[in-house]
Amino acid sequence: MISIRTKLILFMCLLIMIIDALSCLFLFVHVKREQEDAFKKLGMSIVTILAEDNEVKLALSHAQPAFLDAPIKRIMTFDRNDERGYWRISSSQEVIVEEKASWLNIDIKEIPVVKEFKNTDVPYTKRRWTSGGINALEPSQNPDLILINRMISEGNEFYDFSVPVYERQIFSEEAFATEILNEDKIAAEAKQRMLGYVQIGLSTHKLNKKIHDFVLHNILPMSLSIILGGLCIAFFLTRYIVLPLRRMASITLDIARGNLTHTIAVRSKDEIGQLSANFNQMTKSLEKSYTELKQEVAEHKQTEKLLQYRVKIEELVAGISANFINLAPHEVDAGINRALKAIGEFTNVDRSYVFLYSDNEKKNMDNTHEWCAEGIAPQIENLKGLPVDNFPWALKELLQFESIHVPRVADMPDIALAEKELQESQGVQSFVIVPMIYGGSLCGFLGLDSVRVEKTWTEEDIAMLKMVGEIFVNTLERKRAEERVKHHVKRLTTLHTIDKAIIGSLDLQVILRVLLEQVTAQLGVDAANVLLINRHTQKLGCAATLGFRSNAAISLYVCLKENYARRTMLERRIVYISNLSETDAPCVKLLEGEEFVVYYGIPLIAKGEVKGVLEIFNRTHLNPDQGWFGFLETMGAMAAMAIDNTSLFEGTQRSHAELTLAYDTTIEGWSRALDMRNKETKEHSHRVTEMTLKLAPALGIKEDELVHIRRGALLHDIGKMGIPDTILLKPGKLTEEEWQIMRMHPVYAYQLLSPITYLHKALDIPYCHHENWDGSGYPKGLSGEQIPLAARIFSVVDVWDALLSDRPYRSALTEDKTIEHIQLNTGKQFDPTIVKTFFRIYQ
Amino acid sequence: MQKHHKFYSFLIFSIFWLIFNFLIQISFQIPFAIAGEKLVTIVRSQQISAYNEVIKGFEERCKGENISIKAIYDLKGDVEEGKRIVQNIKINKLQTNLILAVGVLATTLVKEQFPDIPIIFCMVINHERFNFQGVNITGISCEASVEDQFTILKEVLGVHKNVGVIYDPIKTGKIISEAILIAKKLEFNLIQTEITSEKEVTSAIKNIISKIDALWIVPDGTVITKETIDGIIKLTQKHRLPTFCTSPAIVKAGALVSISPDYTYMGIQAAQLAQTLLSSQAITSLGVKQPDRLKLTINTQTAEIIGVNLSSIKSRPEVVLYP
Repeated sequence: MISIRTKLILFMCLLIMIIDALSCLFLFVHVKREQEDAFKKLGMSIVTILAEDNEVKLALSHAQPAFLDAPIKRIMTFDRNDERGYWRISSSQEVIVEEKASWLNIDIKEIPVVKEFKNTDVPYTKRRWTSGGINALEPSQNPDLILINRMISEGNEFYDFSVPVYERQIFSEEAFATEILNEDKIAAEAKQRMLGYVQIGLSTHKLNKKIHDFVLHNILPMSLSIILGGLCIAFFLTRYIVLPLRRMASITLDIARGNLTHTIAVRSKDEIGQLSANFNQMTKSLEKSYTELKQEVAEHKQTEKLLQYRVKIEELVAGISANFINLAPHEVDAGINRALKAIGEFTNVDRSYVFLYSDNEKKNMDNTHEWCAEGIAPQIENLKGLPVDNFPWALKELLQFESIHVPRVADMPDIALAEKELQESQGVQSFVIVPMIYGGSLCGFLGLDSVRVEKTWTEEDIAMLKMVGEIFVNTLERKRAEERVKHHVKRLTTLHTIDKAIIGSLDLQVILRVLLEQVTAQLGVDAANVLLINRHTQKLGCAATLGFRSNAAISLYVCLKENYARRTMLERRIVYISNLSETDAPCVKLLEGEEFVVYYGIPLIAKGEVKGVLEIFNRTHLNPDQGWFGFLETMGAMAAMAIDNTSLFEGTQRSHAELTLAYDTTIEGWSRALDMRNKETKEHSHRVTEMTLKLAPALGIKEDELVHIRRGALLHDIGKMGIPDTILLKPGKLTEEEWQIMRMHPVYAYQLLSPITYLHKALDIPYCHHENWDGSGYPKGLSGEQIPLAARIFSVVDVWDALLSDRPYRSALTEDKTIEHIQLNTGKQFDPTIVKTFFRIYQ
Repeated sequence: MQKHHKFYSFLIFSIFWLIFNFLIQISFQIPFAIAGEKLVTIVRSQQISAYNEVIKGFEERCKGENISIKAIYDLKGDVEEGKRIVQNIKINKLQTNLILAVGVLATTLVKEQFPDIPIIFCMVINHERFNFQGVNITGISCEASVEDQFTILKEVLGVHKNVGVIYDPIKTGKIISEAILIAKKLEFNLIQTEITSEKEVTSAIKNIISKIDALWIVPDGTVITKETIDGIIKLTQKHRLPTFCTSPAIVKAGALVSISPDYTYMGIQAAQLAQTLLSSQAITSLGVKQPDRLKLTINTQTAEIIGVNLSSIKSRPEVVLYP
């Protein structure tokens, strides 16, 4: 890791070096420029002074070199540093005088002579010489027309200053006046005559040495001091900047370890100070947030714990509830005990229990279910039939549907003395009970006891108890309801059995027997009988008895003019005697041997008429409920209905039989009438009917259809009523037209019989007995099994009998011939199966 | 024939008579003329057109005024030459009643050598810089008064304007001091910038160019040089800044307007002064006069470049349009 300080130092060093380098460079350049400017000024001054010297002008005017001595001598005094390399004064045509320094290793003749001053825009041409030559580098001009060239010769650099010498010098103010007033400047300038040139070359060796010395003595030390100073500043500055950051870093580490109390004591009024202040603020906020977060986390943990506990409670309750959902009624008690165990273990108590009212009047309570922890004595047997009035305080609370939570039995109030004594007798130190409510009324309560230690239960525990209590009470009520339903189902089954008996049997005795069996079984009584009224004598007679030790006694009892049965019959209401032994009625004395205690007499009333009395006897007291009475009344009504139905049925049976007889007799009469008209052999219809009835069952026709076959067979030729006698009774062969008419007789039979509903099922034979198996018959040309079975059967029988009978137009055939005829026409006229069966039966 | 002979004789006689009278007249006049004519020597600093105009005006005015130009000497702008010439004038005792010195060199040399002859100087730029006072010294200023200059400036620019000026306090400090008061009076805001060398001119202009509405170029040798005048003109034209000066030469170089004396009329005015001085018995000084007639020179090209409407002053009779 490269620290910030190192980075800063490196960066600052770099910066310092750059600054240093730039500064030194700048200074060097500046100084060099200054020295060069000074050097140039010196050169320009020297050369200008010479150019303006009158003696020089004179010398040039008169070409007198001697005149130049004095001015040159004067000029040499300016060259204190011996920088002068050469000097030359020349006229326009020739060089008047020239001289070079001894150290200059070039021939002065090689130094170019300046000649072009008129056109100062023309730069000095650069000429490159071969070895030892002069390189002219940069000509520059200045306003005073001094031409300056920088030249290099064998490593020696020098400046050549050249200036023209004019004949006369313009007075400066007049020169200015010329500028201001004269619009024609060129003419003015042209008037100055140039006499010649002054040229001086100054070596830069002293200049370079000065610069070199300056660099050595000034720039380098300055550079070093800048570097050193910069480094020191960088060092201390970075230390100053980084130190607070280091402190902040270490404090941050402390914070990461959990210590939020540290602060940074940096008071500088800059960004570091601001950062420190902000950091301290941040630490405070963090501390505050951390504290709040810790609190929140603790609360959350507690909440989570609570939630987990609640979840466990819910799982427990859900488990208990799931167990109870499909619990059979006979398993409810075991289920409650298991649940008590589960909640007892869950809440870590010593005992869990259920108390329920033991009677309908809710005067007493029983401890019906209990679970005890290991080592704790059960109390269930000691807590039966507790009068609730003995515990008014607890009862009051429970009736108000309030839970009772007693963390310390010793601290129970005085008004709860009985409860306290009861608990103390069981060694209970703390208990909680919750009411069990169903339908808005108290059924009992569920409780937990802590025997070994004092215990306080939470709201969640009490709520859980309430939920379990609800499950228990719902289950118990469901069990009771199921039992009631079972009971009702039993009774309905009983009623159904009686109904079946009534429907299924026309024998009253059978019905009454079944009735009495069901009554005694369902009502749980010892004996019962049914007495019926004789319509004619209006006397009661015993129709059926059950459960009596001696039928004789009851027979005698029945015969008495005054008995409870008669009373019941006359009063047309239920008569109840709760204790027969306390009555003096003579009829009771007759039944002493039976030792009956309780009597119920129920009038059997059907359609407003008393048919008889149903009597119930029991040898012990009964405690019947509404359902029992309802059942008893139902039994009575059913008995009355059975009696009434039986008599009705018998009447109907008789009427039906008489009607049927009437129908059949009528049909037989018609049949005989037809035979007589048709001049058939005697009893032809009767015979074929009997034969058909005999054959039909063998071919699968059911018994209840035989009556229709009988009627159809008897009326098979009723359609001939519509055939004129001329055709019907014609002795000879019928013509085709006559046969067409004759073939209409099945249609006529259909038309005659179809309006009669009673004879619908008998139409097959009259309508189809002339249809042929192969479809060549009439009237519809049916074939095969399209022809009703009854008609197919009858057609065989009818032909058999007809062939064996004499007719007006032929004699009877022999049986063999008849058989042969039948066989010949099997498959054409007759159904082969029916022919086969016919021959099997009649042969 | 005889008649013709008489006529011709009469004619010849008349002609001779006229010639005789003429000669008699002339002979009478010459002494008078010779007896009352004053001699004036003109010393010119150098040959420049402005000086020549003045001399020309002087000569014209002197004609018929009994003033004779004895000699015109040209000093060629050279001090030594000038000294030699003036010395020659003095040594040769050339009779002269009055000397007209044109230009500062001539005035300087003449004042030195001729303390007892009336001297009229003219065409001395910024004459107050030089010690041209004496009992025999009379002069005509080479520049229009600051008030005249600013009046024209006001007419062109309007009031409440910022006028910039760059100057060397050593050379033109007095002019600026006077200008400050006149500017206040004429409701101008004079923004001055001092310089000490010509190298500062460009930067000084750049500093004030955005703050001013016009540049007043004063006749200052530090400000106006061959090198700086181009730069000044270029900058001011680039920024569309009107420039006012005291010399037509600078207008020709690119300035907008100059207010300068009419040099020819200055010569006439000098001749009038000469007449006054010569008619006086004693040597006296009439002080330094302002030029009687001024001319406005306008560079129309510059006016077009910077977008100035000078129609209000173009129509003046004293306006000279360039080009």
